Amino acid sequence: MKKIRNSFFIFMLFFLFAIPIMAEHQYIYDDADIFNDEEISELEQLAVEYSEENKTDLLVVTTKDPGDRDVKEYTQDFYDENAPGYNQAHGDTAILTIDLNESEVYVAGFGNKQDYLSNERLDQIREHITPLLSDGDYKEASKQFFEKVDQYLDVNPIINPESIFLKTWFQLVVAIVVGAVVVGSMIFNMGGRVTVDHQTYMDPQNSRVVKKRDTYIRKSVQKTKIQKNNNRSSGGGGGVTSGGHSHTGSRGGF
Amino acid sequence: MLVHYKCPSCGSDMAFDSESGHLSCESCLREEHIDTYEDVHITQSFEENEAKEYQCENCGAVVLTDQDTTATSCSFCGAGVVLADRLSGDLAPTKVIPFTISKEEAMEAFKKWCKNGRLTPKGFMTADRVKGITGMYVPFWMYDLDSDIEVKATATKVKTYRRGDYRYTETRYYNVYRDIDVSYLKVPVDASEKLDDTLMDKLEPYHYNELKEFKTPYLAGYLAEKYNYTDKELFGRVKEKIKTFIDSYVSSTISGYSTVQYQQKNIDTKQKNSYYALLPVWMVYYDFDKQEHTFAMNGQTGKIVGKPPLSYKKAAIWFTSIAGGSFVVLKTIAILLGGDLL
Repeated sequence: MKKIRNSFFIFMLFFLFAIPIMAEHQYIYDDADIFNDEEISELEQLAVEYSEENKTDLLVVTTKDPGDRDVKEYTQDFYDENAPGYNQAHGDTAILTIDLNESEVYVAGFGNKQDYLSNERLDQIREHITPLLSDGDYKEASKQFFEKVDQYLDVNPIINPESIFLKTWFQLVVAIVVGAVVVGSMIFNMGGRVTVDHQTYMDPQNSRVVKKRDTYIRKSVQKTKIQKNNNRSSGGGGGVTSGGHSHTGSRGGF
Repeated sequence: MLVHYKCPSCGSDMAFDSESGHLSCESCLREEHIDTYEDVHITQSFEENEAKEYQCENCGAVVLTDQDTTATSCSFCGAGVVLADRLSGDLAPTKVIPFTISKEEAMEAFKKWCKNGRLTPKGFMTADRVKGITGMYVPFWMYDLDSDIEVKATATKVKTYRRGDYRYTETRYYNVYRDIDVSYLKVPVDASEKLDDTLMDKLEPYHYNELKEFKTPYLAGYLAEKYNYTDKELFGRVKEKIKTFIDSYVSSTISGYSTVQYQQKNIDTKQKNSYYALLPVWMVYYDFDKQEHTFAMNGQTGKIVGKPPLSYKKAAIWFTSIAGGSFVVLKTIAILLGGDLL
């Protein structure tokens, strides 16, 4: 009986502590201490808004001491340990990890949003924020990370979010060209078109190829290396954490 | 020499009827087959000198003609007359395609065509200011041509494939040689200097299987002209005309290559035959906005050519709606894929 009461007590205690922790959802894990309090609350505010809007947790993790791990392994362990996720623990999450020790950055997508945050898309996001990280503007880099993830999560996986087809100026140009070509050909054909072709007057009985020769002379082969998207010190895209969670990602230095 | 076609029953003037293909009399509706029409009913009057004035056999009025005219109507009594001396000897046409579209049908078709003008001003579309419509046999030279073509070209086949981390682009070069005989039949070239060549080229094609041996009664009731250029003078033009045909025929025989570059292309064209033919054209004169517009209609197929006036307002409306429409379509697709509104 006592045992049961004790365990009940522990259970209640767990709840008392657990509830405040669950309620106070943390988005910015600034272990490297690169943000001041004001910046943290500003970024937390933004992270809450973007996370709610996209039903995906958007996290920023910084570290100065990742241990023996590289930035990718650090991110994987972080995900396993902290179990973030909008919909559930170990759920839909996008993480930006900044390792100041090795000057490396890793952006990762976990959960169901991996189609929207594919390795290629994360490469684009990482390349977009790398210059800001190099300048030491970590706050702006984090903001840009939020904005890009927010943008990309809306765009169907079949198309590159930075594709020219999604740009308004390009759509305008195409529309104007289409209009000009159609109206131009209408004006050109106003006076009637020539409707005879090379077969109209041809006498097929007396037309033929008398002699025909196709001689192979030589060939030339050009060899080009296929460009891979991995820049300096980048180690592949995504992978599987030791906790068994698959993810996408992009890693690079800054 | 002026030729009248008289009706064997009532003596009235007969004219060619495009519907039946016979000579018909307007007064008693008698129809005469052209092949069996007896020469007795043809009345002729001779003029000794090559004057431009003829005297109408019917009413005695003076028929004024242009020096190229070979058939016309008396402006006084309306009788169709044929100037036979201008259709004999070297000037005798060998073939003719008779009119199959009557004046009324032509007018109807023209009005309908005006209504469909998507870029023409509104006032033009009603077609209420047609000044005149004239059925005219236009002189054409038709050539039967044999061309011997010898082509030397360098062609390539390009193939790309991937092996390991490399992309290979393999270009194979070929020497291509073709010796081609091609013959063209009855390629028409307009032989009148009054009519615009490009306009006449657009009138084609006629159905050449309807070509008939020339007989003067076909011309009764219509205007006709004689040629201004001989077949030799126009040989250059017909060669120019078939050059594009030859080019596309040649390229159709060299297939399966990525690129073809011609090193040499020798075309030797010989004239096998030439016919002097008269082809039917309805000329429509239309006054609009103080300007006369000329249209030509193929008298056999009804195809209409000629530049109608352009309404800039309508062109602008078309442009904005097409460009606007395609922008909306593109934008909608982009938004469905998740692009931004702006």
